[in-house]
Amino acid sequence: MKAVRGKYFFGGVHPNDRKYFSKAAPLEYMPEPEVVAISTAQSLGRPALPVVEIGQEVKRGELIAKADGPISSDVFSSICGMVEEIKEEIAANGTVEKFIYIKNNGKTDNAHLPPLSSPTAEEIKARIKDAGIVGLGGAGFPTAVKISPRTPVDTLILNGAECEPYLTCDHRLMLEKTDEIVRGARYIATALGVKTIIIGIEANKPDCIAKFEPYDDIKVVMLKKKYPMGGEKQLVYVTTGRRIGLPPKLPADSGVVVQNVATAFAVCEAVEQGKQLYERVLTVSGGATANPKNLWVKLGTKVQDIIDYCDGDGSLDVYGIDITFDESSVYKDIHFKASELYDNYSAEFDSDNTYTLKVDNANLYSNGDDVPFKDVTIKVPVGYVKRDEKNSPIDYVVKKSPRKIENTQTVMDYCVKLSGEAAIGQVGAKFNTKVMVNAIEITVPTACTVTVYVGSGKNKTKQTANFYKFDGTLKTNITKNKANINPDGSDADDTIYVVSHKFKVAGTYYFGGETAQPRKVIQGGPMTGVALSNYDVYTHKTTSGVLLLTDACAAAENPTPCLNCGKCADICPMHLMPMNTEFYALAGDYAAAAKYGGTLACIECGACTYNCPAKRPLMQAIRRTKAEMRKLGGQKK
Amino acid sequence: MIDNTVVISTPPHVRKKRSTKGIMGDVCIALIPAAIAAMIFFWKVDLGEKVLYAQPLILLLTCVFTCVATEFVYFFIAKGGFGNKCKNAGTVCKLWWKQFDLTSVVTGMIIALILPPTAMWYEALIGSIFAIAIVKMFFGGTGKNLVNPAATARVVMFLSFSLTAYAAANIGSLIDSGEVLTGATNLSYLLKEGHVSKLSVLDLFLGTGVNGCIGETSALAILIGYIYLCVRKVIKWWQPLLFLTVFGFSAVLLSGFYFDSYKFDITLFLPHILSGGAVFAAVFMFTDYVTSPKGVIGQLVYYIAGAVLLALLRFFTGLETASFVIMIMNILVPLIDRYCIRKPFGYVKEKKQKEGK
Repeated sequence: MKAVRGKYFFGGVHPNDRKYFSKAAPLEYMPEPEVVAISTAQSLGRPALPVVEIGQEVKRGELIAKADGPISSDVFSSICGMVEEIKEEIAANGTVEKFIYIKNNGKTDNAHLPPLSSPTAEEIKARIKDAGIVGLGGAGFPTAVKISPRTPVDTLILNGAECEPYLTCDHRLMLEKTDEIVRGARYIATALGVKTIIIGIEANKPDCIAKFEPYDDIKVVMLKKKYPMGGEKQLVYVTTGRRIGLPPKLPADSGVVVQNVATAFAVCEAVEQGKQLYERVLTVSGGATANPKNLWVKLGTKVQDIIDYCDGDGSLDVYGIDITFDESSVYKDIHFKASELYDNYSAEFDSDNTYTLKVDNANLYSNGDDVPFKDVTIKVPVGYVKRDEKNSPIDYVVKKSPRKIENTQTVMDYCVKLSGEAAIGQVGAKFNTKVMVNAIEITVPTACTVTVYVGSGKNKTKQTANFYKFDGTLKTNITKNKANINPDGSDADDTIYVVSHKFKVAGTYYFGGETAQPRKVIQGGPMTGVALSNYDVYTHKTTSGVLLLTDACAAAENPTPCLNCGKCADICPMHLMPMNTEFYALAGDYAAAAKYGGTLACIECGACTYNCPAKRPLMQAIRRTKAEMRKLGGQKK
Repeated sequence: MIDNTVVISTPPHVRKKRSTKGIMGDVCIALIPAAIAAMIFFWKVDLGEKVLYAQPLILLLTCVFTCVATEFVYFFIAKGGFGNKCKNAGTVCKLWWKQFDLTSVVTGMIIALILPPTAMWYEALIGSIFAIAIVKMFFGGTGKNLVNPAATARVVMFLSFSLTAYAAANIGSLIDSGEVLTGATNLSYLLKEGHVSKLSVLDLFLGTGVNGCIGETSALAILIGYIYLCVRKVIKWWQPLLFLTVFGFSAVLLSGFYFDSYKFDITLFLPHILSGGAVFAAVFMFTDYVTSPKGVIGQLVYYIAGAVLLALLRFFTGLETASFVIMIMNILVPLIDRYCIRKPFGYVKEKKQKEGK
């Protein structure tokens, strides 16, 4: 049906959506990772109970953990492999969860359920439960519970708002899988016994709106671009004009059921193909991402693997470093040729994220001559090149972050892989595999010329690469001919830029890009997601994105005194008073905080904190108050 | 050396690029037209026996400098700048600069602009010290003051130096000395006689020939500041309008009762609004974040009650009482905030269901 405009709701904020990073990237299957770690806590309720044993072979889609209680959901294996380990670990959000580690054995067997043709309502409900489908919008409420409401409902609302900045997974899904989403919605409607299906899509996705308009049984509502338009209560109000009461009231009490479009797609697959929920689309985006993508990712994939699949975190890819001494005639035309170092090196990981590269039998080449000086041996301890006879050291240390490197194998994989290729002209060293680094620290012992060969892969963001040095905190560029990598984002994959600088004085310098460093790594959207401390976490059913934000976008600011400006209350979509909550919470009076701030009705959208000019941590106060009130309530009982 | 660490914090991870300092900077910019108008109209003040030059500039500089200096000195002492044989002095100074958010500059500018041109610099100095040290810093600094520092300073100065300096400050009943200045106070005519004086509404709007406090006379300059504040979303556009409308109607009503036995002259609507300090107070002083209610309902109560109170006090005291009204309303704000709480979204429905049961 032709799209109609949604109603207006008071409040909300308008953050820059920055969907341009990954909007145009089509859905893509990420190769199966070597190891997955699947948490048993995949839904809102109690964690599921593991039903597999260590050493057991599992197929893709095989049940590995059984639901425990009504709002818990089944968990399925996302790859074929062997159960390696079942252990408790701290998950990204800080809670302790039980993880089932499965090692991939390369097989592609599926353990899918039989497909259903023209299913009845009861069959669909059973199938949704058996496939372990939960709400993929974020909360992870089991869909089977949601479609068995206590009160009669007359409307199904599909949530295609995707109001979180950066995220585009639902956008791509709606574009590419329109028909499946519609079929899934029809199955849910059948299960619920409702006739009306409404889909709410934000106005910044006109292509999706156009895609859904041809379907006669779907009412398309164009929503104003605003955060949190995809909040359940807001969405129900703008699409139908109904208000959902305060908790514990559910949308079903107002006669509606809200489902995310991704959930509808999962339902369609579960019904038509018998596929369990073990993979989902997630967005990899942010200013520090090399190659923003929308990926089909298996449940329990390590964030590190996802980032690597997207060509790293936007840092520069260094192909080689060439150091030439100018002073001594002995060293004049001799280049350190790293290509020969490959076979016999060992690397150590130091505690401060630096790698030690040790090479025992490396050779030196004279310029223009491919015959190596076999009798010359250089030693390379920790990125430290030294010619034995002349005692003239060349240091370079490769620094990387925020990865945690555990063994030398990883160093080899991600840090330095040298090839046996011959020198190309003046290129003294060429790393065959890209070295993904944020910055290289180069300690120059004496005057010399350092040349770095750098490329940006399939990087779509603009970058510059140059030498710089730190004066305290200030970064000073010292290269004049800095390389502007991908100024128009169109450069081919294999372009290598040469940045060279003649250092006149000894000292420590750095080489790197200016915008590439991720300052914040987020699982989920930027408004409600969880900030990660490293990449060693695993995706959940509800993980909708992995974002690498740069300094400019994710600056952590110190709070200043509250001005009582009321800007948090003005934009609160739930019409609450966050400043009161914070005021009383800081004083330790949580009952008053809940009373005067209305905290218990809060949907934790984060709009107040976003809007606060004094940068107050309102969200923290609200969460604390909620937790304390829960404790108080527990005591009373 | 290279900072490779990642930041971990609670969501949201993106923030609006708007800070307290930015907002206060916007208020300073919005006050500039009024300050320029003050310079133009009161550069030369002829008191008969002597002529004062550059009074607005002197007052502005005195007030702003004193306010900032008072805040600094207070901060310096409170943070132990003198302790440990003044070894911490440098650190404390840096700390102060880091937290300096232009609020004292705004206070200083407002104090200067609500002074009459005859006010002396030392009076402004005492008022500024009082405003920052006692009204603001004693209560905890930015965001913690109970009453508007500028309005309170004005009240203190009015009571302390009333007959000498404030005779001409838009004050109706003491007006005879107003004749000393060029042009009579329009407010006095309105309040005493119930009609507009020689000045037209246009004069009042532009501020030409109007006697009064230096920043309050030109409604045009204030309007420019108001539009700027609205565009920058510092204040809500409806707040001053609501205040002035309610105030204008209350004043018309009251003057109807007071002078012409139930004859309500709507043509007095604009003169009432434009006379005295109502416009300035509505745009720059009532809208002060710290001392106005936080929620929308509270704000409605605050502006309507303030407007009615201002009209009443003006008539029954015959004085320009905006500062007093602001002080009184400020003290009521915690009470308003406590009782004017918006119901959460979706609350109404639940209530109906309860009634049904």
